[in-house]
Amino acid sequence: MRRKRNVLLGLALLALAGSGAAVAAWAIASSGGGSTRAFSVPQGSTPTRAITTWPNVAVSWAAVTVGGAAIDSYGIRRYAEAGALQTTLAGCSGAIAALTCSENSVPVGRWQYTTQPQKGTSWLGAESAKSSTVAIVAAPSSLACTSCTTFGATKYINAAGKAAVSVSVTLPATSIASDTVNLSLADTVPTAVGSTVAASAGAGTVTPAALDTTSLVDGNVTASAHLSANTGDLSPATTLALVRDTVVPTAANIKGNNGGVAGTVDGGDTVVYTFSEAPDPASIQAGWTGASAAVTANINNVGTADTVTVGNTNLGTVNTAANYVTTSRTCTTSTLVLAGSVLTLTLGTCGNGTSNVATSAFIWTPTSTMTDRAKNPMATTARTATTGVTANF
Amino acid sequence: MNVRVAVRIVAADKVRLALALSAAVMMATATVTFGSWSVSSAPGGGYSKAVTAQSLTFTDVSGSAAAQLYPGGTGDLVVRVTNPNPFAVTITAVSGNGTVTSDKGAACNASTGVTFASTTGLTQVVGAGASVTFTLTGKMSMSNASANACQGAVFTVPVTLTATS
Repeated sequence: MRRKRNVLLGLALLALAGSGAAVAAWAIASSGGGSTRAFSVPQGSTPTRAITTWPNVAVSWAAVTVGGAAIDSYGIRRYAEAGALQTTLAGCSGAIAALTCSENSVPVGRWQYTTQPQKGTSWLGAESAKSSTVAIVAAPSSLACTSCTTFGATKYINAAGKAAVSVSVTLPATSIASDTVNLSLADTVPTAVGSTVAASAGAGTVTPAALDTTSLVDGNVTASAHLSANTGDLSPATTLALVRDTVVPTAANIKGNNGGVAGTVDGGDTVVYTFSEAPDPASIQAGWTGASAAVTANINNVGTADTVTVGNTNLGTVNTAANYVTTSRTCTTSTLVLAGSVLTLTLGTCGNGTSNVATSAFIWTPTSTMTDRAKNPMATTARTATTGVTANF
Repeated sequence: MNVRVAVRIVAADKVRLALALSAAVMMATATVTFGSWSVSSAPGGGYSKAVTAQSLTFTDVSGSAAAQLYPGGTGDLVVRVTNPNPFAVTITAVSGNGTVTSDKGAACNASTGVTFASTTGLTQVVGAGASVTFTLTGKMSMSNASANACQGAVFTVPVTLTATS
């Protein structure tokens, strides 16, 4: 019996140990390799560029992705148009996480930009194709109106010159032949006229075609010139302030005033000439600035139409329209003073002669030798005293 | 120790029976060590025919691995195995088993940045004599330190599978 039990137990163990598929939990450790694959960073997109505030250049580009994930950053490079790599300046240097940057204070020249995407600390995409060229063009050095008249520091466009205003433009040393000089004249309306001319390489002076400013109004006019590159990029403008004055000056009034003995032409009496606008004193007397100047005044006995003239001036003649003197009188040490548009003749010491008490309205006939500050010749139309008949002396 | 020995012991005396019992228990419970385990697969007789449980074999599936990894990203691990055994097995765990290498050579291998996250609790069945390709989703990751040379690389990830019958 014992032996039979042992056999049964052994068979049970056999079943337990031998029937692995049915009872035992086999563990099979197997070594090998699985596979996974990485993306590649795509090539950067070709950037666009624009000058925002000269000479800052805004560079923009389209995003690229890796497996749908955004790129961590982009590297921006600037090349000379001829190909040499430059140092990218503040604003676009380093890793740019955004899709635009503005490189500040870009030097004068012609540049192209590229982008290069980066993922992680090391993965770099291929550098993009170069952008179109952006030209940082220097402004013209100076302008000069060669057809303008001058009074003091002011340049005038007068009636005679308004149809052909010529302004020369001095180019910067960085100018190249493919640049274009753009000149404009604008009034305060603003109405503008303009012309262009090809630049020359290097520093030099060019003069665009003369401009007809007939369509502009009198007053302040700004001459403005800039260079434009063949890329469409513009330099800053260089300006020149002008004044357009095309109105012919006229005699506005004439009046005598007693400054000595009433009813007598004598020292201290004045004759006041009023112009429609401030005249150029040098056109009244050569070299005169308008400050008090010694002159000789003549009271000429011409019957009942005595006249007043001033030696060595272009004031013209004042017809007193009365008989103030029975003999001509010469008043030396007289003075002229110009204050704006009012010129005052003060009689000095008058020579022997006889005066009459008279009243009249003076009539002034100026000469066209006189001009306003813009060098517009004085109209010679006679002006009668607006105050009517008075004693005058 | 094998089953045949145990069977023979059945006909021996009690001392031998005790030894056979110990051996059988060891055989039934020692499931963690890979080896040339013999399996009794010929029921009905006093003797059994020996069967050896074989390791699963791996097949290169790099060609079918889709690009997924990038610095800071995660991806899948694709594995294809064949079960040479005459019985089905279930893959329950996959763990890393060495350095990840690439098809880009040393420039990439110096810093692949690729790591595998071991996983357990799998229930991937591989039939007897069958081949299965399975994917461990999201178990691969790539650090930002991955070398530039690793772009587009196919990585081979050494792993050890644990399968049970």
